[in-house]
Amino acid sequence: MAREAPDLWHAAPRGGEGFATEEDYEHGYKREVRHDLQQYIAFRVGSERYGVSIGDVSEISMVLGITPVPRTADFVQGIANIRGVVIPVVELSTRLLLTREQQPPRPRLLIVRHEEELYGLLVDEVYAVVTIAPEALEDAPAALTGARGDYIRALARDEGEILIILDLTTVLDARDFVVAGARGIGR
Amino acid sequence: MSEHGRSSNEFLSEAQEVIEAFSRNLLELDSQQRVGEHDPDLLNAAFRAVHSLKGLAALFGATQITSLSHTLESTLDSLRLGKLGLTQQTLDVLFASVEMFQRLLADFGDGGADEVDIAPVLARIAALSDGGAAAADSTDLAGLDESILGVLTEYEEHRLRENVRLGRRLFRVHASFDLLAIDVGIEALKGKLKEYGEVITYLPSADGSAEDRIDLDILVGSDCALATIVGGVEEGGVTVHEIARTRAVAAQAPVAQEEDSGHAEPARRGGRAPTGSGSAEAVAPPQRGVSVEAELDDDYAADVGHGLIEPNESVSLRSVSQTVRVELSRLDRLMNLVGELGVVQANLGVTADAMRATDGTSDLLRDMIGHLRTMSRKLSFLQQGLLDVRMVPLGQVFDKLARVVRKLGREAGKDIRLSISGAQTEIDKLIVEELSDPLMHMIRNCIDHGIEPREERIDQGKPAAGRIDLRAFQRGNRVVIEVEDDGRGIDWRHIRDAAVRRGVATAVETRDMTTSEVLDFIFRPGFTTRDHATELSGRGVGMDVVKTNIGRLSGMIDVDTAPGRGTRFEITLPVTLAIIQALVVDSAGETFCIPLNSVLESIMIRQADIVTVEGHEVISLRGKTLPLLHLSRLFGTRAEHEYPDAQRIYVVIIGLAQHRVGLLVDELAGQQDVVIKPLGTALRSVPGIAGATELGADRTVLLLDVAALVDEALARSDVGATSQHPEAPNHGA
Repeated sequence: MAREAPDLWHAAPRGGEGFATEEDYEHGYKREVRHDLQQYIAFRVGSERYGVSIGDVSEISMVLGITPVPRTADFVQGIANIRGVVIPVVELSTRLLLTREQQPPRPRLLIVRHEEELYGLLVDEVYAVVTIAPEALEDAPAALTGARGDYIRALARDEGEILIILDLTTVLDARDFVVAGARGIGR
Repeated sequence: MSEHGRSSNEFLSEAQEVIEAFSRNLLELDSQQRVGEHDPDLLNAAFRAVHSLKGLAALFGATQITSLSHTLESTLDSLRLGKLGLTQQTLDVLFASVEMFQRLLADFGDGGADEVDIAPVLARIAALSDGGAAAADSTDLAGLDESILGVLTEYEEHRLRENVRLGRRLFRVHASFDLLAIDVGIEALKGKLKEYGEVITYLPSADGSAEDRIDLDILVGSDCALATIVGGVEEGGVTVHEIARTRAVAAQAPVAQEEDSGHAEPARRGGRAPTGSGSAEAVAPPQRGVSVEAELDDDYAADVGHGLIEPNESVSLRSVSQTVRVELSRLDRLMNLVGELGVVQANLGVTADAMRATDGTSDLLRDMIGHLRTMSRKLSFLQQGLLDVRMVPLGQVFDKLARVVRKLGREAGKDIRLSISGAQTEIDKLIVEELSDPLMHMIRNCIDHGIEPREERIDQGKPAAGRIDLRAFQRGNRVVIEVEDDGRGIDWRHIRDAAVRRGVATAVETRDMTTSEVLDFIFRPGFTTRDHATELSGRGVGMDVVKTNIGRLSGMIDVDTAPGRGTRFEITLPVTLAIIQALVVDSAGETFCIPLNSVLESIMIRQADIVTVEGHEVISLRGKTLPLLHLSRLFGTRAEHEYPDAQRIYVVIIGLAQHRVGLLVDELAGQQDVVIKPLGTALRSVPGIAGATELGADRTVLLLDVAALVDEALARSDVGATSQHPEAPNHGA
């Protein structure tokens, strides 16, 4: 992961501030410093690279003590207790209809804030913070329709590789969490 | 006059407000005077307005306004004391003075050129006092105890005479108020009493009351009979006695309370002679606090603000405001901390046990265990103390409902009496907040569907006025709230037909249902018997919402109805949700908590004890059939008919009132106090799960929603609640 280091370096001035690159040093800051760059946390689920906006991420934690919750959708891994707050944990590979990796070497819990509440996203590995210019973003191709396509906000070109930007609104749609059948059992 | 310039705007706007209020009072008095009797309170308010104007004007050096209001003040005093009759001529002069005030104010605003001549208006006011002196008070007050008469102000005595002259009965209403909530209490009572008559005065009661309570006697004049007033106001420590004027009444007021009687007459505050104030102060400072609090009106505040009142009253102000308003979220944070401390303490206990296992002889260890024990005791005090802070009387929400009843009743053209009992029953503030909407909905239903129109009631030989009873009481560690009306009741046939019509159930299904099962349809989402929504209710979002909301508070709701005689809803709620005692159980390798207040008992059975009725597993318990529910099957964590140990099956009997269900679990793991944590939006609606909680050793476990589970069991099997029709087909989802 050769590019991990510069990317983490870029992460330092948070909040979309412009920053100098090696190119700037070479050409003596001829380039205009950009203010519209956006930062994403890049992570791996299965064999794909995904990203969520850094503003949505509250912390990255080790995976500890997840309590399963019955009568929930299969992608709901359960609940976790993050410093006294109980949050739902979403098993992202199942949610994204990918094959689940058995025992990934470095699993992490990506804790995101969505509509004022915290959720845990179970991912296989967290890479780095990447910076992406708006022009490097493109809409998800039409071919990627169906359930999976709904969870994708955009595709980003990051130094030749594709980063799939997740749409938390659909990924964390509260209506999907509880098993449809279970809802009707109670009166 | 730089002082003048800087603050004259302030004066102008304030004076303008006072004059407008005065003018409004006069307008209302005018309309009342045309039809006969006028409201003495209005005259009083007019008097007070002019009085504050006088103080205000004097402070800002508006001499003409001061002298006009001074003259007017004496006239209004004579009017309210009945020395002067209120006639159209009097009102004309009063209205003329309002116009004069406006002109004076305008002049003052322009810099005070003193062009306005107030002499003609002053003369007209003076002429009033010369001419129309009304008959002096000569009403016979014989029979009234001197101890009452002795403490009345001139105005109060006049009002007393007026009431006697009008042939009204006199009542002594005795009430006891919590010192901390006295202002609310008095206002509420005063509001109720005003419906029946006039409040003449408040007298501190001689009855020895507790330190934190204040007893008051309220003298009321009314045309109503004793029973009417009793029915309207008597509750929670309020008693009403009629004062028979032909014989002497028992002494009620202990000491002449110049201080207390003064409150009704702010005019006297400033220049009151100090007589008696020494003794009054010695008697009971809280009582003075009461009077100030009860009568703390704008006028008084203005007087204090402008230095017209000696600040000695502020002592009593301080004595009643010893309360702190705290945001509930702050208490929640504290409660969470206490809960986490509890976890720490449990972990410490585990560590201590481990240490004892390795070296049980150490003195240090023995010391530590001793301290640990002390800590856990203090911790439970702390927890209980925090819980007590969250408790508020249900009266808070009942008072709101009383206003709703009055308003909705009028809108529906129905005369409805609301009777409230148990308003002092305490419950968690959070629950009270969540309770207002469901209760409001039920009250609406009572008024809209329950209580019949007046004519229909009379035809059926019922009292013309409908009646709604709102009762609260504590039963064990739960609070029960009942809403009962004496209306037409719910016709279960009607419900059944509507259910079939709306496709909720088929005709065949409903044929064998018991009435209570049919009644349960009203709690189904979207269920309504009405074809047209009314202003009040009938939009099909009603009882199901009520039930859901109450279920969210771990409560249950039951309905009981008799056609033609009324309907009674019973809500059972836990006292608090912040921290609860829970039974910890294991099922299929997972740990769950069950709120202990809905656990009736736990028993152990063998697989052989389980019998099957119509495909539903039940056991016989003391002659009753108890439906069984496998927690592991409900949650899909284990296959059917699989027991870890067929000889040792634990049954936790959960339920409330007549609904009982046996919950099958693998292991009982003890009891613990737990702090409930919400699961968040996404998982809130998981049926059967009420929340999560932390047990020791960083374990997060789920808390079961007993109400939902009981419902589920009843929906699945008809051998549930009543055991009346075990052969009935399954009508559940």
